[in-house]
Amino acid sequence: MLDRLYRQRHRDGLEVLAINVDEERQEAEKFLERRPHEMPVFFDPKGHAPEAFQVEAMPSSYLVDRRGRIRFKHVGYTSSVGAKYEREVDALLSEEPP
Amino acid sequence: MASASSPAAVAASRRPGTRLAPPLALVAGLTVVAIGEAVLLDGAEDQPSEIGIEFHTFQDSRGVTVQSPAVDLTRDFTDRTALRAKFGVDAISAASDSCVRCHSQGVSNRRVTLGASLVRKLTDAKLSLGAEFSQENFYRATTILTSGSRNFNKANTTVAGGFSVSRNQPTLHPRRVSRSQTTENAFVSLTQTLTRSTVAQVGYEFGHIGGYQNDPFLRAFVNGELLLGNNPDRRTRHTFTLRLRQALPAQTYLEADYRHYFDDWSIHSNSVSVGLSHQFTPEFLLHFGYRRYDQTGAFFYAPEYFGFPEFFTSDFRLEPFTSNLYTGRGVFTPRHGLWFLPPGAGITAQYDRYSSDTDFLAGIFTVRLKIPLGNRAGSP
Amino acid sequence: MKTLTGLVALSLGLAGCTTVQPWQRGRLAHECMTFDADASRAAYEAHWQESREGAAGGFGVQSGGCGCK
Repeated sequence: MLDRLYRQRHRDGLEVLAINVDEERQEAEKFLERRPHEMPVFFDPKGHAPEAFQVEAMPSSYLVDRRGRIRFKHVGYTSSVGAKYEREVDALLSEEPP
Repeated sequence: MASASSPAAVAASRRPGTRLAPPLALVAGLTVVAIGEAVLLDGAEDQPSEIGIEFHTFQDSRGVTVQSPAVDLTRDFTDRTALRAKFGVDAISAASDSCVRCHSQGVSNRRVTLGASLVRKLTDAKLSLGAEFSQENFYRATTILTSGSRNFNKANTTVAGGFSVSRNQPTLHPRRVSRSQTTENAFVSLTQTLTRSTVAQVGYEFGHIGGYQNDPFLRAFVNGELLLGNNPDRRTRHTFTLRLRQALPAQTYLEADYRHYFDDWSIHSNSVSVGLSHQFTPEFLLHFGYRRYDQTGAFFYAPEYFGFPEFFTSDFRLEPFTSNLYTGRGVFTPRHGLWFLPPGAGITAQYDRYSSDTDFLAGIFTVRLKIPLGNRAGSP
Repeated sequence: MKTLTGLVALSLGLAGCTTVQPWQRGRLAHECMTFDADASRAAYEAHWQESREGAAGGFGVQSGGCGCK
């Protein structure tokens, strides 16, 4: 879903940073091989990013606006989250750049 | 693949509304930062909607064969509410020695079970309320059950509890007179994550049965005569459990369970089980398990009775014995779906071999098909 | 009574263990690390074992039982 959003909205200014925290990189690479993607994926096996964001559950995602402020947070994942994501991304993309 | 960017790039902000450190703010337009693990993104929905279809065959050395198809359904209505329903039929060939005394050709019985529960997920808690109904030729049971659980300490600790009340109606045979029986059960458990690869659980369950508890089929020898058994009409049970799950290297998992049971009929039992699972590929898992069970007999149990005993029984479940159970199970969940079924569908096959020192043997074969339902959006 | 005391002490001891962060729970997410991940299978195993043994329960809320002997 995030990769689809990235492909559709990247030209409009959306960046997606997918951070994988698997301790065994092999597992993550096997998973990613099965799922072709264009969004960049970063590896953080030591967990710096989730610690910095004080992640409470996995997966978690944060929408950061053009001013660098975290505007929305999603914890966990269910099938209904996709539509909500799109609405939030569109709302933030429509805001005036600083 | 890029390496992790400097912690400083993401360290600054923690709450909605706060500003990120300048390097990231300059690089990014609108940014989505998604943090996850492959194993959780692969089918990441909590409580997925699914239907399970299973078939069990139970056959024992007492001449009983039970074939049981069953269907269970889990359906999410919202992100937080799910319905679970189950339906099963036991086709029981009650051809045991207790039946063949009168029915030399054996006799068949059918048991139907129906259950439903509503599960509501709150922020760190889960509540469930349900009911179950079962009906067979000489027995009917209606049960109301409720349970709940709460997570603490970033889900490292879970406290759970539940309560059920059941109104049962055994029917005498062959007189067809109904009796009544009520059971109440309550349990509490504590699950604790000990390390990144170890989880433990301790639990306690209390049960009370009041009312008719004789076996309507079994007859005991009293002074050389076959008489319908007479058990006490109250029974209080206590069960303690200690369970462990340990992730080992190379996709291998160890499980160990211990249960200690005792009741006021003087039955004490210990049950120890261990199992080992290995994930050969993401699609195929194999499991082997062993369970050792022992119990003392009820205070009123005897192979034969003389004089004027108050209580007497020939119920084989109340005699002292020791048993061994061997289990083998394979789970196959192909990546692209099973046959015409969607991805996430899988099949499980299990065989159990049970034997006791009372020369009792049983073999149980189970096949289960799991079918995911609804739109599965895959990874986020 | 001794068993109950021991279990209570064990529970309190367990509750004070290390905190594993949500992003460190990768291995714990496997279904083999979950107690009774397959509730239907666990229920059936409890059912046929209780129809042949004197002990019962210990792994969750009971159902009404059966006349199957």
